[in-house]
Amino acid sequence: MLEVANLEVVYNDVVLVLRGLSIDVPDGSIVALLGCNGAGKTTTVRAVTGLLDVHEGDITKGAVNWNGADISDFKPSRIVESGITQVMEGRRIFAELTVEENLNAGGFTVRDRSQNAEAHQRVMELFPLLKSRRRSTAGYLSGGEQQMLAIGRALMTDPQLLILDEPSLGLAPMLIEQIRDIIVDINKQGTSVLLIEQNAVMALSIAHYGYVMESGKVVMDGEPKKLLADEDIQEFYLGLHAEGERKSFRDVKHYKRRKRWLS
Amino acid sequence: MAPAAGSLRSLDLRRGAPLGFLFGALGAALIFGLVQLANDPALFFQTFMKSLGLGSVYALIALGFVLIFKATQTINFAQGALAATGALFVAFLVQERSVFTGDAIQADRYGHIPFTNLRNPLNAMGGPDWLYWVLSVAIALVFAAAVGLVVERLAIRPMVGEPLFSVAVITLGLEIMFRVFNNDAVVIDFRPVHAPWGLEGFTVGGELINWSFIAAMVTAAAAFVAVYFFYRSRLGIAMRAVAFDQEAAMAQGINVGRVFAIAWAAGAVLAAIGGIFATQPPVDQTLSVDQETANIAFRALPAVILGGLDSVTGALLGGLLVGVAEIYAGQYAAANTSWLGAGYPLIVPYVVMLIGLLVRPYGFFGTPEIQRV
Repeated sequence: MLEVANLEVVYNDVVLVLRGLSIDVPDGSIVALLGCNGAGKTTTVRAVTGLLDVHEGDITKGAVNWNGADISDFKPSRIVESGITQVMEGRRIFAELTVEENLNAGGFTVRDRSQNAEAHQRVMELFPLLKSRRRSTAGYLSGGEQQMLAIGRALMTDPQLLILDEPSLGLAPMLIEQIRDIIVDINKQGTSVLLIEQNAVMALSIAHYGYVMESGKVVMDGEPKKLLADEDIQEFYLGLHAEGERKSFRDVKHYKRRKRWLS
Repeated sequence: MAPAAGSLRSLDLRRGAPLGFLFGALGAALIFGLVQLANDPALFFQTFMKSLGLGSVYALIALGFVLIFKATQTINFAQGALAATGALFVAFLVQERSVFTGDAIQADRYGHIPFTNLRNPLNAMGGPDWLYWVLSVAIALVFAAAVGLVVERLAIRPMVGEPLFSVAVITLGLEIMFRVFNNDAVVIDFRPVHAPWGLEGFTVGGELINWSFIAAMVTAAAAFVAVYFFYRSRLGIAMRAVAFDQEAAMAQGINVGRVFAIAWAAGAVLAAIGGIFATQPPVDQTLSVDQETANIAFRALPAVILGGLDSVTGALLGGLLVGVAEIYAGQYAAANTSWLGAGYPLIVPYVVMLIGLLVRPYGFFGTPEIQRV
């Protein structure tokens, strides 16, 4: 179980990005973390996976607890070995390597050969498409295939918790649905998932629990049903009117609804 | 449609001129070579073997450059000093048993590796001299790898994430530091490295072909195969992943620092092997490390650039091409062009590189989009 408690992160000793963020990801569940650009979603991922150092960021307060141990000062490689792997925003596959080599690089931390082969088998079953393109250079795959490769690469470490940072970014609606179904499948096989998204419809349709972030804090949390019923969420994340219709741009141009969670 | 495109292309002087120049030069060289082949086949063959020998030494050095570049995206300008240092280790390890020349031990300040008490543990070993030499070289390569590790840990690791240009300049500083240290503190002049094959060889049609040419070729081929398979191993794939995207590799749990360290250790070992061959024909006739030895890296640099910096195949072919150009220029052209001075075959590699880069700016096997220093 991942528990992020009261986390505060500062970049370059000046820019305060997370101001007391707290989220829980229970074992075996899908948790959605919603928020618009600049809310601090990716920073949260970096804090959990130990990549803050690369970006001159520091945890100044709070703790990241994973299965009871504080991992906030672990190296990235140690965090991966302890069972947390992320799929980075924008896919970040190794474009010059082949699909197979990408997967092998992904399984770097797994020294046991049979375990590695098992993880490979699992990825091939989840993504039959990758099987046929094993020898091709990863950079020449389509966007959807690249996203699948990125997820497959992360699964090669056989994680207990998979963090997906905006997997729907830049994909067609049909592909988003595919990715969504795959996330559900992965979760059914026993991996907990922390799903970072701007696409609230997609995230909340499969999550067991959801958090909404704004400027470095959780401003709302609850079951997806509760979140979807909330007027503010409907307004700002689903673009729905109070009566449930879509608004035209003309109507909203000079209109700003006050977010009630800020009051 | 087609003629228009064709005529446009022929008007493109940017590509057309260097290409024409290249083919013209190649054609002239070919005709000239054929004439010489008919004239004196034995000399031609000797020159050919010599050029492959030199090309192999360049290829070895170039492989070291490529290995470090592929992991860290920086050209390691300290490669030459590392080569000389590696050869020096051999010189100190084998000096107490100057086996192949029968000379007395040189009057010397050290009977051990300088600033340590390390003597060659094999000194008391019986058995054939060549085995003693080969094992001593193996020990020297371990030392060379250790030097690579220390350099990486102290000077390169703290610079991870900093601009590549700064890292490249740091390696240049390291080169100078190592050279000064070798020249002044260790006193480098003419320390024999020896070799089982010495200056001997076999004759074909009355022309001597040194065994060291053959040794260099075999070593370069072995190193090429080893590096080729290394890049397909678990660690090699991780190394390429780190080179492509450090942060993504870290997110996969790859320890970037360790990958850098391994690349530097392997690069230093390849440099040392190149350095040992840099004391032997065709590079040098003295079988000794001297102040010239460190220059081998700068002589091999055109091979790396021409091959494309990040390509193993490019390093091998670039090395051979540059070696052939240099030796043939020295053998055939220098006598007829005395007005150019005596030592100019040394700059032929750079001329070849210049022409090559005009045709293909990122080298013959390089990856175009890679950012370079």
